[in-house]
Formats: sequence, C-alpha cells, structure tokens
Amino acid sequence: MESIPLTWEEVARVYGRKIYNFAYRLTGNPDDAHDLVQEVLLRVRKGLAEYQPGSFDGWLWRITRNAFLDEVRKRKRRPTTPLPEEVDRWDVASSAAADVEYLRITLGDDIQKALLELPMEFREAVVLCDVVGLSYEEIALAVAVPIGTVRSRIHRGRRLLRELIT
Amino acid sequence: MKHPSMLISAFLDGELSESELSILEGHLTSCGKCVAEMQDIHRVRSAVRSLPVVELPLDLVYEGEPAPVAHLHRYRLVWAGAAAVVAVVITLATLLTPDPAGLNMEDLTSRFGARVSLDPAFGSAKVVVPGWDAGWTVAD
Repeated sequence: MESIPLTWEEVARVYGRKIYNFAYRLTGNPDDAHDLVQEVLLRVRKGLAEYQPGSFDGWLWRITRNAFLDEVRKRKRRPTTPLPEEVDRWDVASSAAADVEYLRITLGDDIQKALLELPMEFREAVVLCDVVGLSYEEIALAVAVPIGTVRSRIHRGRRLLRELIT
Repeated sequence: MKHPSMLISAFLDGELSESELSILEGHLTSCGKCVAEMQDIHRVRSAVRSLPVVELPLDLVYEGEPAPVAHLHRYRLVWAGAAAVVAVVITLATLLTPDPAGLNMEDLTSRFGARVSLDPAFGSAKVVVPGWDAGWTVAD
C-alpha cells in the first residue's frame, strides 16, 4: 500500500507548488492559478476523510482537473496571458549571464503562449506529463481516459507545440 | 511505409512496452522522417520540461495552512466545553445548596465585623447557621 499524506497540511506542503504550477501553465494567469490551488486544497480537505487507499496522485489530480474545469465553466472566459515581467528582465540583463537568462525567459514565454493555444485535452495531458511529471497511468486516472488516449493526446499536443513554436 | 510516429512521445517518456519498443527501434533505423520527428518532439518536450518552476505565492501558503485554524477551533471547543461544565456546576450548586437563612458573607461581615473591631476580647467564633453544616469561623 502506498504511503499517502495523512493530513491536509501535508498535502498542501507537498503538492501545493505542483498544483500551482499545473494551474499556472494551464491558465497562464497567476490569479487564476492562485484561486485554483485554494479551491483544490479545500476539496482535498473535504475529501481526505473519504479517501480510499489507491493512487493518491491519481485522486489528487482528478480533483485538481475537475476543479479547473469547474472554474473554466463558471468563468466562461478565455485564459489570459500574464504580462511580461519587464523589470526582472532588465535586472538580469545587467548580469554576465544575461543573454542566456533572457533567452530562457523569452523562450519560456513563447512556450507558455503556445501551451495556451493547445486544445484543452492536449494541454492538460502535456502539462500533467511534462510539468507535473505524472506517468501515463496516473494521467489516465486523473483524466479518466484510457492510457492509449493519454499517449495520443500527449504526442499530438507536442506536435502542435512544435508547429506553434517554430 | 507505415510510420509508428505515435509511439515517439511514449518512447521518450519511457512508456513503451517491450514489443512496441522493438517495433519503433527497428523502424527508426531505416526512417529518417521519424528520426527527425523524434528530434523535434524531444526538443519540444525538453522545452516544456525546462519551464521555470513557479513558486507558490507566500500568501497562498499562509492562507492554505489550515493547521493553526484547525487547532484553534479544536482548543476553542475544549475551552467552550470546560466553561459550560463550570457554569452548570455553579448553577447546580447554587440551586441545590440550602439557603442559609438568607445569610451570606456580607451579612455576617456586617453583623460581626463591628464587634470584632470594637471588642478586643472578641475571639474566634464559630458562626453556625441552621441547615448549613460548614458554617464560618470568624478569626481575630
């Protein structure tokens, strides 16, 4: 039997940043990501008592995904792209490694924008795989689709990203 | 030629079965198109994976920390329960204790206080109140 976080606090501490990154990469908006993390942790808090031992990650990410979809339905608006952090860029521009860092940040922005262009099914599969680091099996549990579908969505999502980035 | 390109991402993620792995590896030895696609997908995959980790906002960490709140609520309940028990005990004691003929400490003090202060010969006295076993001892 896998070891699972037993308390709400441990879930928040261990998974909070991952959930935030998932939400941020999915929405491109820090405020939305902030709200989503709060909502997910509330749902986790309510649901922990009824959690049945199994794949905790699958359970947690299913909650996260459902919370995200609920939020999207509720707001009924397109995700927005965060404003570029010009101040930070100018700060790093003065350092020796500025070019490399600037390139990394710019590239990150491009990838983030491209992610937001992906259809939701592809985006969430790619983010759960490459940002959160879930296995295909865990993604299948979280998204409630067969592993073959996960495999297809990830590959098609990456293909689309390639076209969007280049 | 049929290209098993849908296996490429799963290959990069280490999610292929043995049989799928041998199919893809066999194909890659003779298909430049799929090799090129694998290189492209690998680059995209690396780029997404190298996205900077966004730190959790501090206020979210604070707001999301339920422990103090949970404990506080728990302690509040304990204190509220203790206070309720004390209140019940006091109420019952008041109701069940025989009324000492309407006497209380203030009455006794007013009755005997003057004598105690005015009469140096006045010693300890046991004040016995009918129906009240304990009584009070008025000291010098």
